[in-house]
Amino acid sequence: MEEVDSIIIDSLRNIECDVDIEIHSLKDFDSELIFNSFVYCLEVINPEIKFPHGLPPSMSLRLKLATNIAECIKDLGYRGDMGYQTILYCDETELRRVLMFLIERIPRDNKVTNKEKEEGYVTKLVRQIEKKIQESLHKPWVPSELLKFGVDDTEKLILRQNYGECFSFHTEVVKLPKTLEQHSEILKNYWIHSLPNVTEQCSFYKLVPSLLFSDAKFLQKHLLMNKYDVIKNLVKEDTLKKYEESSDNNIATLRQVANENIDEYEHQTESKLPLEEEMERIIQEIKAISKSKLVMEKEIKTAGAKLSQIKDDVIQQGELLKESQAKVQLKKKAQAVLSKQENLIKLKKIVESGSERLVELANQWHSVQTPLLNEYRSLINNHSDQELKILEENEKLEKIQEKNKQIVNEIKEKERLEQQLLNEFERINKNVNRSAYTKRIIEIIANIKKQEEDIKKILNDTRAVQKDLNNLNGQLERSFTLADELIFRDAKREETARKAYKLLATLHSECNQIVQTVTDLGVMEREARNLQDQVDIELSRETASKLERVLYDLSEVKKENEILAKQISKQQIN
Amino acid sequence: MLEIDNNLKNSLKLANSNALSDENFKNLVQHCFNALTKKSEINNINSLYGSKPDTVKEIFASVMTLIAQFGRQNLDPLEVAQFLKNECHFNANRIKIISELYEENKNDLLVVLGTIGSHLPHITDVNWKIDYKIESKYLEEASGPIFRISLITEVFDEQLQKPVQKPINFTCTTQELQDLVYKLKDAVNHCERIAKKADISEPNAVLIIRILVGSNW
Repeated sequence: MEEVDSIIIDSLRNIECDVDIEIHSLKDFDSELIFNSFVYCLEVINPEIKFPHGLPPSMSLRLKLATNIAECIKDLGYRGDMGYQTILYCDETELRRVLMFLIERIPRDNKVTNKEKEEGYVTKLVRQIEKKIQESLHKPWVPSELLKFGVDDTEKLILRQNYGECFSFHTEVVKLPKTLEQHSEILKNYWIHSLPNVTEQCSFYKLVPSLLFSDAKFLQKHLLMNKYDVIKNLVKEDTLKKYEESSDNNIATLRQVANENIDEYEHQTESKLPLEEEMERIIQEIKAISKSKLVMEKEIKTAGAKLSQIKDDVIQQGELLKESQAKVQLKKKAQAVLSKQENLIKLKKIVESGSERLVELANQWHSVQTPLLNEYRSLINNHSDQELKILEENEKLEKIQEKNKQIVNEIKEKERLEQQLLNEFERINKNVNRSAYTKRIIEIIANIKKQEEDIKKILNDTRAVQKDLNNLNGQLERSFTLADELIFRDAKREETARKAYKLLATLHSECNQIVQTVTDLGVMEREARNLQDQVDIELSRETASKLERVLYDLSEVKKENEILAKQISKQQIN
Repeated sequence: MLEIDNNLKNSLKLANSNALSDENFKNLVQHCFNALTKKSEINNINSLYGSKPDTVKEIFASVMTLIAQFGRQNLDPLEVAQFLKNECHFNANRIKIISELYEENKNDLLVVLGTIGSHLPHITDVNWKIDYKIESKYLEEASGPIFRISLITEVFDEQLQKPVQKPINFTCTTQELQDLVYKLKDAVNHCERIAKKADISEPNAVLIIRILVGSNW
C-alpha cells in the first residue's frame, strides 16, 4: 500500500494541494487535509467547480459543503458509498478508493496551466515559441498564392507560412502639414491645395516605416551635413595638391628649354663662313665615300659566301673520290681471290657449312623456343585467369563496401533509435520505480494463479462427491424397487409379508422425508452463512459508530440552531 | 509603455477637436486601417476634406502613425483605450471608435508589421539532377555521383514591388548531401522535440495503482 499512497500524495502535490512533507501515507491524513484534497482534485477536474479551501468551523456549513462535494463526486461516476459522512469521517481504505478515483480523472495537461501563472517573461516567450512551432508542424502546406502577406488570413491565429513577401526596412521623408503652428500664407496654401496625402507620398511598403520613424529625420539630416562637410574638405585638399604639383613641373621644363636655347646660341656665334663652305664639301665627299664603302662591303660579303660554297663542294667531291677508290680496291682483291680454284672451293665449303650451321641453329632455336613458347602461353593463360579472378574479387570487394556502407548507415539509424529510446526510458524511469511495480504485479499474478488452482481442486472434489451421491441414489432406487417387487409378490399370499410390505412403504416414505429435510437443512445453512457474511460486512462498516457520529452531528447542529434562535430572539427583543 | 513625441501629440489634439464629426472621424479611422493593411479603399479620403483639407491630412497622418505604434507595441484594445484616455485625452466616443476598429483589424495590422524586416528567402520548390563523373577507366576511387540542386525561393523584389522567384543553385557530393539531409532531419527533430515539450504526458501512474491495489482489495 505504501507505493499507492506515495503515488497518490505525489499527484496531490502536483495539483498544488498542500501536503506536508512529513506525511507519507494516507493514515496520517486528518479531516482538514482530506477535505482539501477532495476540493483540489475536483477543481482541477472541473475548473467551474469552486469550493472554499479549508473546513469551516460551523457544523451545519461543514455538512452542507460535504454533501455538495459528495454530489460532485457521484456526478463524476463514483460507485461506492458516498455521502457527507464519507468525507468528514473517512477511514483509510475508503479514502484511498475515493482519491484514486479522483486522481484517475485529473486531466493530464493541468500541470502546464498551473505553472503558467508564476512564469516570467522569458519562459512565457519560450512557451509561445513552442506553441507556434507545434502549430506550424500541424499545419498543412498552402501555396503562396493563397496567402496574404505570407499568412493564411482565413484563420484566427497569425502564423507566417511564407517569407516571400517580406520587404526590407526603407523610409522616405514624408511631409506633413502642421496647422497648429504659425506658418506663412504661402506654405499654408501649399498644404491646402498641392500637398498630396501621406499614402500618395510613398509606396505602401514604405508607409509604415516612414510614419513610425519620421521623428528620426533630424538625425539623418545631421549625418548628411557632416558627410557634406567632410567631402568638401577632401575636395579642397585634393585640388590644391594637384595644382601645386602641376605648376612645379611646368617651371622645371621651362627652365630646361631656356638653358638649351642659350647653348645653341653660343655655338652659332663662334663659327665662321669660309670654313663652313669647305666643311660642307668635305662632308659631302665623306658621304659619297661612305656610300661606295657600303657597296663594296656588300660585294665582299657575297663573294665570301660563294667562296665557302665552292669549298664545301670540293670537300664533297674529295670524299666521293675516296669512296670510289676503296670500292675499286675491294673489287680488285675479290677478283684476285676468285681467279684461283682452291679459293673458290674453300669458299663454297664455307658457304655450305654456314648454311648447315644455319639449319642447325634453326633447329636448336626451335627446340629451345617451343618449351619457352608453351611456357609463355600457359603463363599468359594463368595471367588472364588471375585477372579474371582479380576482377571478380574487385566486384566482391565493391559489393562488400556497399554492404559496409549500408550497415554503417543502419548502425547510425539504430544508434539514433537507441538514443531516442534511452531518452524515453529515462523519462519514464524518473517518475515511477518501474521494476518494483512489475515485481509486485508478477507476485500478485502468481498468487492469483495459486488461488485458481486451489479453487479448481475444490471444484473437482465437489464434483466427485456429487457423482458418488448420484451413484448411491441409483443403487438405493434399484434395490428398493427389487425389494418392493419381491415383497409385493409374497404379500398376495402371506399375511406377514403384507405387513412387511406396509412397513417397507412407510420406511421408504419416511426415509425420503429425512433426505428432504437434510437437503433443506443444507440450503438453510448456506443462507445462514450468506446472511452472516452480510452481517459481518455491515459490522465492518461500523454503522453503529457512524450512526453515533451522525447523532452527535445532529445534536451539534441542533445546538447551533438553538444558539442562533436565541440570538434572533435576543435581537427581536432588542 | 508606449511613448509618443510632442509633434504627434500636437497633431492628435486636432483629431480630438471638432474639426471632424464623429461619423467622419470613424470613416477616417477606417481609412487609416485600410491604408495600413492594404485593403481596398471604399471611397476616397478626399471626400472627407470639406473646408479644411490641410487639417484632415494632418489628422489622417497622425492617427495612422498612432495606430502603427499600437500595433508595434502589440497592445490589446483595452490598453489602447487606456492610453488614448490618459495620454491623449480623447473623448469617450472617439476612444470607442478607435479601440473597436483596432480590435477588428489588429491581426491584419500585426501581419503587415511582421512583414517588415530582412528574412531568409522562402523555399517553395526544389529541382535536382544527378550527374556522374567518370575520370578514366583505371580510376581507383570512384568519386560517386554529383548532385546538382536548385532551391526555388521567393524573394521580395524592391523594384517590382512584389515577390519574385529566384533559384539558389549548388552542387554537392553524396557525403555532403547526406550531411545536409541529416542536418535537416536534425532540425526537424529539434522542432518536434520543442513542440512535444508543450504537452508532456504523465506516465500512466494511475493504471499501475489500479493493478497494485486491485489484488489487495
